[in-house]
Amino acid sequence: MANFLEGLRIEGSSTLTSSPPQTSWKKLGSGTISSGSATASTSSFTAKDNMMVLGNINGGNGYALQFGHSSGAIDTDNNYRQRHSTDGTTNTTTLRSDMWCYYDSADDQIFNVSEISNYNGAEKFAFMKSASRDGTTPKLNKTVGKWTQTNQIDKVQLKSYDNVSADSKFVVIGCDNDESDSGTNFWESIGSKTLTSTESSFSVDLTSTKDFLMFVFTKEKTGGYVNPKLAFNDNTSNYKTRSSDNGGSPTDPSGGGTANIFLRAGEADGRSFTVGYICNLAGVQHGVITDSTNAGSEGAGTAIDRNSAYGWWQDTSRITKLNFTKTASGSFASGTKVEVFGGNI
Amino acid sequence: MAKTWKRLRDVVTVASNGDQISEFTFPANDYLKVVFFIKKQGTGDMTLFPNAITSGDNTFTARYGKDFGSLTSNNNHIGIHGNYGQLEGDCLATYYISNKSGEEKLILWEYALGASGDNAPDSFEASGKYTTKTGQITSFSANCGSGGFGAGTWIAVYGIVDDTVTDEKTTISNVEDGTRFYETDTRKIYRFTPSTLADSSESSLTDVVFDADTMTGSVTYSGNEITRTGSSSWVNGLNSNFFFRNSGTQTIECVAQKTGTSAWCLFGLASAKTVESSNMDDQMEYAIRSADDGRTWIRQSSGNWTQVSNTSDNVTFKIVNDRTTVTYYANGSSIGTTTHGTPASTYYLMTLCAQTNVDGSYKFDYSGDITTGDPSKWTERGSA
Repeated sequence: MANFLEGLRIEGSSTLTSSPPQTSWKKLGSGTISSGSATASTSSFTAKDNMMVLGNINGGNGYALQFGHSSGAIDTDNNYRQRHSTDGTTNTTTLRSDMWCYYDSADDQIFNVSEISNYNGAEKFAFMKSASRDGTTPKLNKTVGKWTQTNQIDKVQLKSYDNVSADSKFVVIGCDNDESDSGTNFWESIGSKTLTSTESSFSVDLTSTKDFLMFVFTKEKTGGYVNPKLAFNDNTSNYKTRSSDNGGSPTDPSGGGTANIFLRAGEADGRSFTVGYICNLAGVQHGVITDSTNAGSEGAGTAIDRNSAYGWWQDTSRITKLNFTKTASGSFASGTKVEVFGGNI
Repeated sequence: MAKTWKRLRDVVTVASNGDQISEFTFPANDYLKVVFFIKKQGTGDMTLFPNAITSGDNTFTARYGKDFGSLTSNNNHIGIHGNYGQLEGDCLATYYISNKSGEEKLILWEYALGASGDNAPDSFEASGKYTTKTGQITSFSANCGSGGFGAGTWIAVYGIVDDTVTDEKTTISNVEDGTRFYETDTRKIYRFTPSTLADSSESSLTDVVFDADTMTGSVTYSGNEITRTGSSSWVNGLNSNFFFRNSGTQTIECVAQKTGTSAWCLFGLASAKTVESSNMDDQMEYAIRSADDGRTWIRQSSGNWTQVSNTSDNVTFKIVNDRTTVTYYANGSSIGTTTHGTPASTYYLMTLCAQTNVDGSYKFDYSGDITTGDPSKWTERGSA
């Protein structure tokens, strides 16, 4: 800040840095299911038009969300509906008392990211994605859910159907359509890299440790195919991936592939774009949820692919670095770009 | 603070049942997140159109499917297509877009939606690309079949933005003449000079006063008359000491007596002051170029020079810009017109003259709403 002195003198800097407007998702509430319990709720919060819930459950039996409105009790009546895919097996359920997204009671850990509409006067919709694991076996689970109440959600409960084995945390974030420029956004940049030369691998150091990470990754390529893979902290062991190509049944990567998460964002010979979420809570293994599109050859006459890759880094070290590697003959080209954001519970 | 996601513009909301979403713009950004909440109204397919591309060449390809089934491809179509008509009820649609200039735009999107009440919701997952590589997506419009959207439908666009860095001394207001600014990080010292800008209007033709500081090449002039230039190249010229404000009608006139050899006169309206280069005629947006043999060209909206009917050797040219239409005259007769969109906020008179050996005479006049003087500025005066 400029310093105004006597005698028409001012001291200041050649550069004045101002923060970007804080008009997106902010933390609304959080909760912890204590070990030996099965549910935890947020306090009531100011309702927002758009919501996300990010959470992790250790042990227990399942991952489900329930909502409350008008600062009343959590709605445990049959006001929820859902359609789900548990590792490729699809079904629907109506007249439920919650909306759930997991594989089965054998899950040892479940990491979930849910995008939820919270527009006043309309039913609420959620798109839920869960990476779950039974021991070292990962599963890929998706749910679309609906809460038939039209009042805005101002309280969220995370629920398992049995008591969890260790503290299980979640955070609710949200923003209004006219979110004011105040406070601090939940997603803060903690890493960024744009390649300026051709590389066969690269990494992004994180400037701080956050409980949940979100990243966007645009891959440029040169040479042959470039199948990107994701690892952490220069560690190349104890990874598991479960992926689905173009909505097909989820599969494990051929040959096992425990050295990294297979993003499946390069099986077609083109550019790719990946959006991913990572659980980076302390003391737990790290779930990863990604969706990618593979552009294939240029032009509108070539089919494009969509790939979901969910996985685990079965290590409890906090993630401080993202390592991008690849297989196949090509390389990451100049212009490849990664932006990493993080937020705390 | 550092980079974060920011809402790029106010949310667009559908006011009445049946309305479609007209094109709305937002600042360019390398990554976009779009949140679209649709109140069900019509039964047709829903399509989101980037950059108002609603017809013409097929520039999109996609793969999509519903209810967690397999995804099928749909190549060669228009818009970010949704097959919404096959689904039911209100819808939460979320899009992520890699929006890099010079490359195809890659898109991931999905819906959670469903008919109201006891009905189970539907899922929709898709990926696609907009294959136009030039530029970035900076607008959307949307259609939902013939039935349109329901009232209350809204769409929000977010992007990744970083800190804004500005020169601190330029942010300080109410600075007195002669104030000293010491930059602590560079150790440079600056002094402040207040603005001398002054507005005035001339309703009838008035002598142009030239700004000697803008001269390029070599020009001999007195008052509003240029009599000699340094060469036959289009590098000798200068600006008026004023600029036209964005109001009223702007008129500039040149009485050209081209008695010199290889004598050329170029004059017109330029949105910025002259920049010295090897060939400067393209810096004028609306201009007249005339040769000593009578050949004449006009320049329209920074386009090519277009030759118009020959005129006599010694002639009075005039350019009149009412900020909708620019009209070009020779001896009082129109020799061309052009219509332009939003006019520049400022226009300087710019002239380039060229001749060898024998003096010519080019007298310049103007009328309109002008501003003279200089804006406030900080001038470096050394370092500590």
